[in-house]
Amino acid sequence: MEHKKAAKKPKFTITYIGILIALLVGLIALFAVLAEGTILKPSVLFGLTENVTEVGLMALALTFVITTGGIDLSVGSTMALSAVMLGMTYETTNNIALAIFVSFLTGLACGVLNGVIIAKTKIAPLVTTLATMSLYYGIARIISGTNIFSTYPEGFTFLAEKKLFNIVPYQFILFVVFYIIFALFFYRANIGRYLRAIGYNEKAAKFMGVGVGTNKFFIYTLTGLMCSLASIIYLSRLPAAKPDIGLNLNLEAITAVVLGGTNIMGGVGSVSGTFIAVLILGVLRKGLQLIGLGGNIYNFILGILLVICLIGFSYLDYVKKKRLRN
Amino acid sequence: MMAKSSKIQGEANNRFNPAKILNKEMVLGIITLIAFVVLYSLTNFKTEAGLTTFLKDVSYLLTASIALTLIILTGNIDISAGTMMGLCGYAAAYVAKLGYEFYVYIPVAIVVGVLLAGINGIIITRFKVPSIVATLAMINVHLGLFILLPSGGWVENLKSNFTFLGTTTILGFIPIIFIISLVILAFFLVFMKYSRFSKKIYAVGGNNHAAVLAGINPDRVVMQLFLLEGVLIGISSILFYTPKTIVQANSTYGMEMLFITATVVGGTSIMGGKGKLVGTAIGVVLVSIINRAMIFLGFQDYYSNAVQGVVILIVVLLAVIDLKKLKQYLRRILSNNQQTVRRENS
Repeated sequence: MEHKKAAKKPKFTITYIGILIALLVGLIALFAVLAEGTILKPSVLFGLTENVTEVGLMALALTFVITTGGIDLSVGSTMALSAVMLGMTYETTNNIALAIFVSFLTGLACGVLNGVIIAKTKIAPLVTTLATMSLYYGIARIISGTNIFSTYPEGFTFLAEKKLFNIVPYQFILFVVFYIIFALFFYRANIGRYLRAIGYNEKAAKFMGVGVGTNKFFIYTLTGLMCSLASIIYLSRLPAAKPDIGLNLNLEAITAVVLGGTNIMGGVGSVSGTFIAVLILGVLRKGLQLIGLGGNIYNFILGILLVICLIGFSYLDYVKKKRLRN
Repeated sequence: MMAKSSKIQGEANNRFNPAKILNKEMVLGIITLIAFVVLYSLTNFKTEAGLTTFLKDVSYLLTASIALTLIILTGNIDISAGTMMGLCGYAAAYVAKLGYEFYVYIPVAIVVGVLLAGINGIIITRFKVPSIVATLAMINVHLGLFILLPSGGWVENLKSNFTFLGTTTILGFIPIIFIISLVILAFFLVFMKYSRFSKKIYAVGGNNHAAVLAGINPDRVVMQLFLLEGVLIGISSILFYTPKTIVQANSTYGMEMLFITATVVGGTSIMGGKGKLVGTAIGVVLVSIINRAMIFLGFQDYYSNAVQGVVILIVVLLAVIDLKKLKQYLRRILSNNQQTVRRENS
């Protein structure tokens, strides 16, 4: 019986993750052909993540937020504010440990403010984080004025410069570690189920006994903390803290999450999808650099890719519904 | 019995009672008025040049915010409005540079706006992609288009055939573009009050399923609104760029947040179905006052973002506070005497 049932099932089902992996491999192959194989060198291939680690870290946290049906537009500004606070504290006290502590404290405070407003009042997350986006960006601009904080101690850049076996950058390892932690929480722990329940039907989740407010508060705070971590990684690569470093990053992080298959309306989330989507962004950026196309072409292709993925996503949904109806 | 008691109460409350006329738009209007008066009396804002610049700011913001309000009323959003405006303005300026008059380049801007907004609308209604993600993707596409444009999205040295719209004033200080935006506002106020289509907008935003049962095609309404938005964004780009001699397509990137801010501050619910255009108009004035005030009060430009954020938070928090409870509270304080009289009687 068991055998027959298994045989009846189609051997190969197209899943969204599968499409994403195919897309990743396809893009690498495409750029390998276009750029004469440069991208296949191990140092280049692993170096892809150098440009997208901070986006990736924020995207992992954002996956949680978007799974609950919320959104956080303030990630870029929080990152910029943390970076500016780090730079300013180091410039005034010359104490890097204190500076990093202040940076994390800033991220925590930003996240807590978002979390309190969203969990305690009926204000929509989109509006709240729209407001705090300008607020944090504004505070960062007030603090820094026209200064750019660009003095950091010697060892501070090790995350970006040092590589394991001279191949794998440490920031990539950090990203993978955080991916594993987030994936464990999302797929194996209660919180993952709670988040999906909140996203699918908040009222039902409440009646089920899920602490909706607590969970929301927790994930927005977590997002703030991840933003400060991202700021440290950003500064270790490009040691210049100024307020406008995060302007495009919130769009990029949301793009990564949505490309990864998380439903923006909530209820369906995929940490693994986000991970692969971040890698896709890295391949795109590096590949375009290798061909010699920089700047906004990346955004253009990213946008087109996102539209195609969204349409594909809705098509898959349509097919699934049709199959269920039959 | 009921009628009698209410009549008695009505007589008792005959004197001025602010709780009676309190509504969101009123509160916001009063705040705006106070801000305006403070700004007017404290600074050199009252010079004609200051007022003209202020009105120019209001005019393009107003036009674009009306468009965004209509979209947000249906529960959708368009965060690509800023970049769209840049592309419209660029197209108009490009045509104007070739020597064509305003009756050519204004339609060009509108057509470009309708095309871009139409793409948004098709993706959202045909493929059922949530509007925030679809327009997020379109921002990236527009940003990419900027550098594909000839001369990097810049048009310089525009002649008077383009700039006369933005620089002409009536009575010495009222710019003609402000009059245009006022006409648009008046048209839409009447439109929202009396047209059948406006009822459909509220129906779709309020309860999509109920709208379907009532015989409304939500996708059709949303698509039509996106086309309308294209027209308005096209006009808004003309209003924004004509006071300048240089058009830089990417200078409007991020401006969509201003439009959404004005809309949200004006009391429109981001979930759709609730909101008024009057509120948006007041919100636009408030947002422009904040931006101007920062400059005139001698703050550096970079304070405006922080203040803007705080203002959205405060106004939205005010909106969340239950106005009914506040009214009851006010009424209780104001009619304290009356209660004591009633207690004596009983």
